[in-house]
Amino acid sequence: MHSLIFYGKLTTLCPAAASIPTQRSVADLRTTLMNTFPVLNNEPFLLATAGKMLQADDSLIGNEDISIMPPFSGG
Amino acid sequence: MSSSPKNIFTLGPITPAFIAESIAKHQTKTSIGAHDLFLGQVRADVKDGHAVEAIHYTANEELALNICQEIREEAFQKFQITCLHIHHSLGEVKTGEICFFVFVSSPHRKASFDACEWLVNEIKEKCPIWGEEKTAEKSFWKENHG
Repeated sequence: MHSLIFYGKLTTLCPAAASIPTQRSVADLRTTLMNTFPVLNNEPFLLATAGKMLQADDSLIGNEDISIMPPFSGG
Repeated sequence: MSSSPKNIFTLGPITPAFIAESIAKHQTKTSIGAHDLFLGQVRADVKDGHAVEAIHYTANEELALNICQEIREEAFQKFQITCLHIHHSLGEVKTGEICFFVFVSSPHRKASFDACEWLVNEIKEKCPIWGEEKTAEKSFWKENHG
């Protein structure tokens, strides 16, 4: 399982705490997230784990905690 | 190999006293001939007819510190600067208060000007920080526009 942590605007659109079955790649992860949380089809989001951004072609080892982040708006 | 990330976060506003103290600390660094500072201030934009009273900032802190460290290291490679400091608020910052402070020092002014502008743009674009603007009526998620 991957525990999911939503940030920013997505905290108001998605559950505070959620998890999904283990995914093998970031591509699979994105697809599963959009199927599980349909609002993500209309909201741009970036992914990270363990303090690092995930890239589209990255693999997953399983059980990572996943950060799901809308566009940034600091400053 | 990268060094461990420096904290950039301050709970609440960045105070004028803190900024003044930061400047004063550089008086012993006598190779410096120029400082450039950027101060981001919370603006009272009007949303749905109501003025923004504050912005509440949140972040993916671990990721933000790692990214800021990468930006910091790239800045030292790109510009002839002596030192740089990055501070950003978390939690509530009221309109008129400072939420973002970038401070760059160098022997000559051009490097400080160039590095400070580059740093502000990089941090706003790449650091996972979010602002939620609060009016008397409701909240709006802030969006950065260039």
